Amino acid sequence: MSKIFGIGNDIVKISRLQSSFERHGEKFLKRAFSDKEIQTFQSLSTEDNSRKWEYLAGRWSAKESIYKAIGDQERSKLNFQNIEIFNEPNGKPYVHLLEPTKSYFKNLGIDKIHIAISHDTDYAIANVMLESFNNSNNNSNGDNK
Amino acid sequence: MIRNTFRLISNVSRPTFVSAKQSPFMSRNYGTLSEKEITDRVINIISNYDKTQGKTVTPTTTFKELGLDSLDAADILVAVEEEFGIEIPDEDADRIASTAETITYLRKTPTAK
Repeated sequence: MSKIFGIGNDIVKISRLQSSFERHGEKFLKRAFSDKEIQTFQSLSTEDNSRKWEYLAGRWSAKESIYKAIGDQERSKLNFQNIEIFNEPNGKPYVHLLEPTKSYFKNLGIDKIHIAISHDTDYAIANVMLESFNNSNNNSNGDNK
Repeated sequence: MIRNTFRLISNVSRPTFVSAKQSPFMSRNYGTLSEKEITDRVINIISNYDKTQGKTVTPTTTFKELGLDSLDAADILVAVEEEFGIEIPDEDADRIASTAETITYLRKTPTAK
């Protein structure tokens, strides 16, 4: 038996991430993205860089969705860099939590994070559902596949 | 010899106190920056942000009142870091949601330039 801990969604204009990056570069990236996410971002290369901004916007939107799904909690305890969003080989996104955020989620009783990300031309959107199990069965490596 | 050694030790170990009376404005200085300078520079950063053009920014304005969201706040705080030559730890940055909180943080940061 499990229950829904919370749901959240977020939408962001993709060009805003481009503007922030162009203004502040790596400093901005480090404010919200993990080292691995930044590496992936840097490895993405298309002629107009559009995939790069989609990538950042989708992840920002996903992290904001998680924050909203948690509800009335302090943002300072979340640390966006500790919430990594990766993709399975088929493209499906999943969340990998790093400490201390991983323990924070566990203490709140959040056992699984369901996530979906989409983008179309100008906007990226994400939806999140947080699930609690009665019998805690956390994935030891922090993956929420 | 003994007297010289004692004098040397006394000079080295004697603490130097600066009387607060010598500087009546001391309590308003933080690091090398005055409260007014911090306030003016913070307001300048926020006022020049794209989304706040034409809006009045005062020392007590919150980001929400300016219509700024979390992405705007992250952007502004990186601009503050660059302006003052500091790095705001993420936990502290996530607690800052207004002009006043930005100023208060900088007042407590002696490395701010």
